[in-house]
Amino acid sequence: MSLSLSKIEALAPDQGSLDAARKLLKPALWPTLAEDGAGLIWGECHGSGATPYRISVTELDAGYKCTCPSRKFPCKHSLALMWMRAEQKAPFATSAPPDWVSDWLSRRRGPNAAAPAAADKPKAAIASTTEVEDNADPKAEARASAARARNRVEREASIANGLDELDIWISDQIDAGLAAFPSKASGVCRLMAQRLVDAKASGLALRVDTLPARLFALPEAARPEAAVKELGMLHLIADAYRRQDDLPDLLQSDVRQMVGWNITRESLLADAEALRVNDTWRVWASRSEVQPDKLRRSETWLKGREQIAVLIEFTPVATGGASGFSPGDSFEAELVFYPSPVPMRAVIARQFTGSKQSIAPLSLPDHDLADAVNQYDDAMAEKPWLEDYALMFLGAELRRSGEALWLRQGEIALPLDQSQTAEAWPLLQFKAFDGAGLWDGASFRLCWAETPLGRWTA
Amino acid sequence: MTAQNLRALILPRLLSGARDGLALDKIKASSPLQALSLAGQALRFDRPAHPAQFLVEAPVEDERRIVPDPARKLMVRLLAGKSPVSTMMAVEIARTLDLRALRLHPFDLPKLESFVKAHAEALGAEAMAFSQREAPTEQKQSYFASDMLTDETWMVATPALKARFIASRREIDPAGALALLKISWGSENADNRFRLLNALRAKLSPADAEFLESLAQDRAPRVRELGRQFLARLPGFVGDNPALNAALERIKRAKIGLIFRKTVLTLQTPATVQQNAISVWVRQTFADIGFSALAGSLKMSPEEIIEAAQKDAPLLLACLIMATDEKRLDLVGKIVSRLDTAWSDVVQGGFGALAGYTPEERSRWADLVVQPKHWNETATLWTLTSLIDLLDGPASEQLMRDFLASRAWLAFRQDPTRLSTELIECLAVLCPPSMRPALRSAFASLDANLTHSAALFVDLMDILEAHNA
Repeated sequence: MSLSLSKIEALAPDQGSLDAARKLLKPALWPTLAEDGAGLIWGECHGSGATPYRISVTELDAGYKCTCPSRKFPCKHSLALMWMRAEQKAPFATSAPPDWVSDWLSRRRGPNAAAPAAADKPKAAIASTTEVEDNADPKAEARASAARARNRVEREASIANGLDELDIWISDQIDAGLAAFPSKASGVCRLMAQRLVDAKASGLALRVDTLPARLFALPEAARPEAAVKELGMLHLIADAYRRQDDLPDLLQSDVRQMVGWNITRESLLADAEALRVNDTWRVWASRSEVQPDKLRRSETWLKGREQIAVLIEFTPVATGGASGFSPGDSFEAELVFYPSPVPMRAVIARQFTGSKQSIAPLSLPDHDLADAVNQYDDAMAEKPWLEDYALMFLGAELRRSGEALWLRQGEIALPLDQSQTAEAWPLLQFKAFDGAGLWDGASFRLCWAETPLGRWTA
Repeated sequence: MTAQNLRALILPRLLSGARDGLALDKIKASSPLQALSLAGQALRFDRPAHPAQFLVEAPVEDERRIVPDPARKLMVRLLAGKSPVSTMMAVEIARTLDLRALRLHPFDLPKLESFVKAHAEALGAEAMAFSQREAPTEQKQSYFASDMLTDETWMVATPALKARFIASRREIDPAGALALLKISWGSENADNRFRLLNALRAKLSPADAEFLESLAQDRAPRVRELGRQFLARLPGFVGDNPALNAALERIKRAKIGLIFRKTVLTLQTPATVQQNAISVWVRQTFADIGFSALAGSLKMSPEEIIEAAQKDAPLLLACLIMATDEKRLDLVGKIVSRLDTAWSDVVQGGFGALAGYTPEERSRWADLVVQPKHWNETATLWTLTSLIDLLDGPASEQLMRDFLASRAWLAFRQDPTRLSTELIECLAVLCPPSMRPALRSAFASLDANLTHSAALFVDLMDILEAHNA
């Protein structure tokens, strides 16, 4: 059982949804409450319509679906079903999932989506596939293929133009002096981001659009140098993209993703050369932020025996901020990594167990903060546009200098993210602790600490 | 090309403007853009500069025990959830933690920051340090556990603790308390002097006369006025007592009955005082004169005054205020049996007369005065919140039982739509441990949205009390 009240609270889009869900906790409102015994639950709930709403929930990853017309995600019915499950407020009959549950399960892109769909409708799926292949029109296929190739060429040309415009724009900023850039960044970046969107370089566009926010998160004195780093990196990416044919395969793939060529989940799963790691994964950090394009970017950082991974989801803002995983969760799964010289971003190919909270300490590598920073340098040498990188350490301490907190060990001192001065304050009392966090070269976000008082998580 | 070259030759021009060109040949770069990328990348490999010095953190020694894990989760849900609980619940949680010598888990302090800031004095040394972490050193208050204060250290505590210390000292050693107060009197500001003087309210005696007379020269008018009031209450006071004289002018004496002539007292309120302001006027007029002083002037015993005033509600209220002020709970009981509106009248006038009461004394007083059987539904919430203000802790078992059997509560049970979350939370705060099962069963039949926070609160109290048992 992976559903808990705290997880439900985290999933709820607002307090009103929780209050509304609480009113639905009466078993009399639920003519159907059932489970398949393997982490899938469903129910029917009487609403204002003539027929009850149908709700399905996967306990493994807190996936949900409801037939009600609510614009809140999860809706009160989904929350109520999870709540009844978490608190065992009513018995769930064990049975095979009905068609409407299986349909949803087969369509969703969750970690356990593929298996049930294949198991439920194997013959239909095969028949359908064969039929499509039999009826395929070679000429139509050739036309479609040619159209795709033409689109691709056109997009490459468009991106090349966009990168040229980006270079001109950066040159203008250099001429004007980058010390003044932070004060005008909001206006000029927005304009350049729109041009890059028009040039179909969506990855770079987002990077430019979010640049002012990254600058303003820093102390004022640090912003001019940060502008040098940011604009320098933009040109680096643009230049690498132009010379991608000379790059190693992994770096080439990485720079294409940076510019905006997305790799779909399906093609990644189908990629036989992609790195696959089958392991027990521990969630040690999660965070989410709303992007300028009104999508919420949710990151879930995982650690296996050796490998670090990050699952990144993009969801509409209305769907709440939680990813379904909480720090401390543990689950067994096979992850497939996006191609990169420093592979971190991954998707779950197959999840073998539901996520469960574990009180066990995070298994940290046997090295100190200096070793961790050296690893960051090595990774940046591999991938020059490296952003957040996981640093894990043993025996560091937190110290205060002025209003800022620093993670310190020996000669290494990393400034803590300004937003963490309050939440990390309790760690000042420890002489040394082990932990993990995210380092972007300018500030460290502490995410996990093992202390004599127990586990601390951001 | 070295990172040093990039820093020294390129970076300053990048920052200030490169219209005049960059020294590209010095770093073997082909264009300003390449120079920018190289400089940016060099900066990214720089390690952050080590601060010149780190603060030496003063160790925070907090002897209290950390709350148990189940209580942590409940507290975070109650106090830092998407709809934080009412102030009265937060106050009661803080009071319980203080009473049980428990402290929050340090890792929960940031999550509960608004609660911690509001109740830092009750939450222990670490919570106090956290709430003041950004304050300049000279403005930081130290945490003082009230049970650790001594005659030597009390004067460095916070004003509220100092007053509490003097008041408790006054109960066991009136002269000693006065002597301690005199030592620090000259260095206190007007607010603190007023607080400390109030702490002398209990056990006034002729030994205090000299000090109270000296207050006639105090620079703060309210300190002078309070000193004068205390002076007038001293046994054998022979000076002019304007408050007593004003009260006596309003009390009319008469004899009724044909055979057994009985004395009847009535209070004539000024014509300018409206009906709904009478209780306030009564409190202002009688709060400072003392029952024994009035009895002496009327040449009647307090019991005789109560008997003679039984048909006059405002005068009975005056008697109640004076009896309360002198902690004559025996008289309070007699007055309340003749005055159905005692509680609401006292609430309207304020609880000034109970200032010197300990929590136990307040509870005993409330048992006598609060009579839920007389309450109606519209006044219930108001009276319950007032009771919370008064008691500073749960009500007695009998009082809670009386309320759950009252007509007002039964009416709410029959029509739960008239219940509010606030009223339910009041009940949870007032409920003593022994009555929690009864309260839970009362909650079971109500809408879960109304009782959710209250039920969590009751669970939390159970855990905190069990942990300390």
